[in-house]
Amino acid sequence: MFFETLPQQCPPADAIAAGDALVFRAVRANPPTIEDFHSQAMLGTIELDGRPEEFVCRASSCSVFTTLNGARKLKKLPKLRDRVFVASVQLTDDAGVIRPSAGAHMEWWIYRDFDVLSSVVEVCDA
Amino acid sequence: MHRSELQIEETLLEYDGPQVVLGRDFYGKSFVCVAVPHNDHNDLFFGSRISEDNVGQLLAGRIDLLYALTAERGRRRKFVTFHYDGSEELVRIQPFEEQPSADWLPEPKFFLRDSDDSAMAADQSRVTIGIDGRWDIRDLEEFPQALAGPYAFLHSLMRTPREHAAMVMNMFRRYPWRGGFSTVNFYRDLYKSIPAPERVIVRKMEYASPGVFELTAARDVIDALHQEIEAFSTSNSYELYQELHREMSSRELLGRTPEEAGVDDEIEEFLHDGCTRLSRSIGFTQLNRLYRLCGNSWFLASKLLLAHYRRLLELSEFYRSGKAEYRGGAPDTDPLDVAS
Repeated sequence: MFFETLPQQCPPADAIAAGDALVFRAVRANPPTIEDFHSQAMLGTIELDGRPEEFVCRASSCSVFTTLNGARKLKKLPKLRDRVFVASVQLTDDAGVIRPSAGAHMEWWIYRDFDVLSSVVEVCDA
Repeated sequence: MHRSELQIEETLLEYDGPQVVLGRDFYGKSFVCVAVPHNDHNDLFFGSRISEDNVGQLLAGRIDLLYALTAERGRRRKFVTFHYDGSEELVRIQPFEEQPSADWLPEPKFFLRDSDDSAMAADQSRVTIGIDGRWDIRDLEEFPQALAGPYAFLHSLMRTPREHAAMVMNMFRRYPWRGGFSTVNFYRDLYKSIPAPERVIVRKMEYASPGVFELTAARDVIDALHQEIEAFSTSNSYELYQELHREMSSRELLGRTPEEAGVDDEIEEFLHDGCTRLSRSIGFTQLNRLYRLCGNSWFLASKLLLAHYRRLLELSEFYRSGKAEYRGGAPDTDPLDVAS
């Protein structure tokens, strides 16, 4: 059902259907590639062995922002300097489930059948 | 907790994992830390000691992350590195003795909260102060000062966060209360003790006749302040103020510390009575709290109440002269629309 293999209790109970939100993802390429939407877990950039399910669950989500400015300024951070574009993504209920965290940041668990790249409505410079 | 550990207290920004976090070391010192690139370790963080004041300023969007990481100088400067991926609250830190390379520092103007960011603290509101007539440059200097003093005083009584309570209590009791310089320092320190998101921030200013200041502030505090101004302008408060001041002067209680003044029970009772009557006349509802913060001393409480009154008087001149008009919260922005 989900694009990535998730632990049993994942997504968490307080995650909700994506609805029709417009969200923003800082990406490396224009046009973005599917790798731009891969989670840390899928990219293998984080150690998951022996970690709690909740941690693995969060590591398997894709970060998005609800504000364009929130995503734009990320390239000023040392580890995100290569995120030089921002993709605007139109979500629908078929996109997966989301959970707001701090500020304008949301975690997004993407459904397997959702065509992420087709849902990108605009890409701009960060 | 070990000396070589850091407690991660808050993730300030995450994006595919934590990017900016706040931590506290064994000695209780705060560190602001940012995820940095490294060929072999994807979870490396660089941290720098940060003052408590700058923590507040960073959270309020008044200083950028680069400044927060590099502001400390000399012996107060301390850099560390550690590994953190969000799974543990305690991390082992390594001292970092070099200057951080540009690769490890954020670009300038990375603010955690932008000026147009509507995700402000839930208890912070926009209020509007109408301005009219001709304001010269002294007015622009004096009005914020006139507002900041009594605001800080009321904030300390109404809202002091638990973690600052001891510090504020110490402040109330520390000053010798001879007046003048000690009072000025007291108000300055009180204002600095306000958590940055709850300080009075100018959001917008339109200079015209009529024009407007749009501020953010702790709504209950700034409302209470203006209720006092409204109350005393229609009461006999000035007579009560003068009466209390005159009597304290004749008893040689002004310009003296409690020890110098030889305060006894009779004086305390007289001061209690004077404070009660004056506070009623201005709608000041925090008298008991003030008394407690002053270490159950009506001698100190009365000096502070008189000082507060003088500041209200100074601020009220802006309203009485028609130069300013407190309008409270703007209907379209209060409560805040938390959009993000």
